[in-house]
Amino acid sequence: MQILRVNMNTLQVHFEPATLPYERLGGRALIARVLLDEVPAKCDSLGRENKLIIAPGLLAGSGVSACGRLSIGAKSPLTGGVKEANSGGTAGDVLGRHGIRAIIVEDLPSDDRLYLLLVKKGCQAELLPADDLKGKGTYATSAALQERFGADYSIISIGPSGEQRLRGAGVAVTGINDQRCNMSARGGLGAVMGSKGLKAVAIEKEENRRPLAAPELVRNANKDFVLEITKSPKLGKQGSQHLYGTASIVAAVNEMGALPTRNFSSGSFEAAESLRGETMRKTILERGGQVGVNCMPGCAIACRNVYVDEHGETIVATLQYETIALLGSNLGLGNLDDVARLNYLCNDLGLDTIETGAALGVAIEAGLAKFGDYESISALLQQVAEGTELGKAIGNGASATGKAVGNPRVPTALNQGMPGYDPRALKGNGVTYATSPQGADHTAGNAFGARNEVNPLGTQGQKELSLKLQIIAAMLDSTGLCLFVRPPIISKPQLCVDMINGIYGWGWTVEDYNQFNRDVLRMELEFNRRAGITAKDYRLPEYMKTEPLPPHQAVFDVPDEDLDEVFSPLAQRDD
Amino acid sequence: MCPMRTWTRCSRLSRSAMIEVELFGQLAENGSRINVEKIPLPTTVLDLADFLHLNRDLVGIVTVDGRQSAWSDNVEDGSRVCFFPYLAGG
Repeated sequence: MQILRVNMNTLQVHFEPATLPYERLGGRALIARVLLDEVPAKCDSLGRENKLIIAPGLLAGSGVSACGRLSIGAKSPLTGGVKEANSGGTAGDVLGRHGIRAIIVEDLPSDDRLYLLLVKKGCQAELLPADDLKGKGTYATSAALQERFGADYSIISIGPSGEQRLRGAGVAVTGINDQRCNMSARGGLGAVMGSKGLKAVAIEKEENRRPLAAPELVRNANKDFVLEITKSPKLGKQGSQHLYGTASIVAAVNEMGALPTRNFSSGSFEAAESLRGETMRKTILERGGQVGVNCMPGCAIACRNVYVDEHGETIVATLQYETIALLGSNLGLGNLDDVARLNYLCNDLGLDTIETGAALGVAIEAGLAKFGDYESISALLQQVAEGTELGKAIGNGASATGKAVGNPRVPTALNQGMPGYDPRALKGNGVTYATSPQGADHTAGNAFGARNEVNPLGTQGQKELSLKLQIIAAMLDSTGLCLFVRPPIISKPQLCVDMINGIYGWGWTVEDYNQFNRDVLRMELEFNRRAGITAKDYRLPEYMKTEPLPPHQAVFDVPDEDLDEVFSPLAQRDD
Repeated sequence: MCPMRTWTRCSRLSRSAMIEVELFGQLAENGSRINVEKIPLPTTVLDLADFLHLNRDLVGIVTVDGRQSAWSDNVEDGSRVCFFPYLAGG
C-alpha cells in the first residue's frame, strides 16, 4: 500500500510505501494516527502545519459490500480538535483498488491559485492548475472534470464556501453513474482543503480489485455478511433503509419528541407528517424519481434517492434525514420541496447541511427571517453565496452565527452544530455529543434505536451505551463500512476480522480487532488533549440543562460525573 | 391487515377504552391510523399488537404517548400508540 504525499507549497507529489504504523490503519484510525504523529495539536487549523488526509478504509477496493466509505480528516477549524468525516461515492473504493492507503496534503500554497490533483493508474499523480474552476459550485466542478477526464473518474471537490475557508464547509464526492454529491460534511474540512488551494482531486477508475492474501476467506466472509444484511428487517430489500432511506426515522424521532424544531425549541413538529420517509417515497415515485439507489459500488442496502420536482426534474440527490431535520423542522419548514432546494444550494456551495441548518435556525430566531417562510430563509442562505458579513457568519456555522446575531441559544457541542436528535429527549446522543472527540456528531455514536433497553429519556445506562456505540462507530469509520451495517457487525465481529485477515493476512483475532477499535478513540482523545481541549469544552450548552423541551419537558440531566467517566474503561489497555 | 376492530365480543371485559394507534413504514400497508375502540383494560402493547394482527418480528420500536415502550408495558385509556418497523438512525 502507498501513501501519496502532496506538498501545496512546492507543488511536488510523491508516493511512499505505507510503513508501520500507517500500514495497518485505515480511514478514521489512520487520520487520528497521522494527526498525532505529524500535526502539532495546537497549530492553526487553516495554517501550513495542518494536514488534510484523504483515506479509504481498510476494506476498500476488496469487493466487500458497503465498505467504500471515504474518510477525510484534519484538525478541525470548527472544533479545534480531531475531525473525520466520511461519505459514500466511488472514490473510497477506487483508491483502495489503486493500493493507496491515504493522500496526505501538506503545507500552504505561496499564492492564491487553485490546483487539481490528478491520480492515475500505476501510482501516477500530478498537480495541475485549476484557476478555471475558481468560484464554481461542486456540481459544476465535478461535471467539468468528468467531461475533461472521463465520466468514470471519481471527483472529490470543494465549493465556494471551501475556497472562502468557511468553517461550515465540507467536501463533495461523486458517486456511481451521475451522482454529483456525497458529502464529507462535518467539521469544516472543506475549509482546510480550501486553505491548501486544492479545489479538487480527480481519480482514474481502476477495474481490478486489490490483491487479496486469502481470497476464499474474503469471499466467504462477504457472502455471510451480505446474507446478514439482506435478511435483516432493517437493511434488506424490504427494510426501512432501502424503502424509505434515512428519512424512515422522521416520524419516530418526532413521536419521541427529539426532532429539532424551530432552533431546538421543541422536539415535535406539527408538520412532520409531510417530511416523513413514507411521504418522501410516495412523492418521489409519483413524480418519476428514484428510491433505493446505491451510493457505493456493491452496496446491498441502497438507501439513497433522487428527489425530483413535479415535472420529474431532479432537485437534489440524495435527500437525507439529517438535512430534513436541520433544514426542515428546525427552520419550521414542512415541505420537502423547500428542504430539497435548500439542500441543493448547500451542496453546491459545499456547505454542511447540519451546520448550516443549525446556523440558520439561530439566525431566524434572532429575527433575520421567519420560521416556516421558505423565501426569507432561502434569501438568508443566499447571503453565503453573496459573501455578505451575515453570510460569512452563517457559513462559519452555528456558533459564529450566534455571536454575530446576538443569540445565545446555540445548539452546539465543541463548537459544532448538533445533528437531528435533540439531546434532551435522546440522552444517549447527548452523551455522545458531550464526550466524543468529534464534537456533536451523530455518526460518532448514535443511540437512536440502538438499544431498546435504555430509556432515551432517562439517565441510567447512557454513558455505557454511548461508549459502546462510539467504539463501534470508530471501527466502522476505520474499515470504510457504512454506519448502517452496524447490526451484523456487532452480532458477528468475526466476519469483519475474517475480511481483514483475508485481505492482508494479518492473523488478527477478535481481541486484536477490539483493541484496534478502542485505540482509535484513545488516539483522538489524546490529540484533543494536546490541543488543549478540556472536559468543560465538550459540555452541552447551559440552556439545554435548564430549558425544558416540549412535549416531554425534558432537560439534559445526565450528570457531569457520568460524562467524565464515559472513557474510563479505555484508560487501561485491554491486553 | 390491521382492520378497524373492536373488542365488544369479548365477554371477560369489565372496562374498555379508546386507543389511538398509528402504524408506520412497512407496517402500514393497509392504512396507518386506527382508532381501536372498546379495547379491554388492562391491556399491554403486546395485546394491542396481537389484536391488530401485527407481525411482531417486523416491529422494531413502539412508543406509547411518545415514550419508547416495551411489549409488556400497559396501555391506558386515551393513549396514542405508534408501531414502527426496525429503524436505524443516520
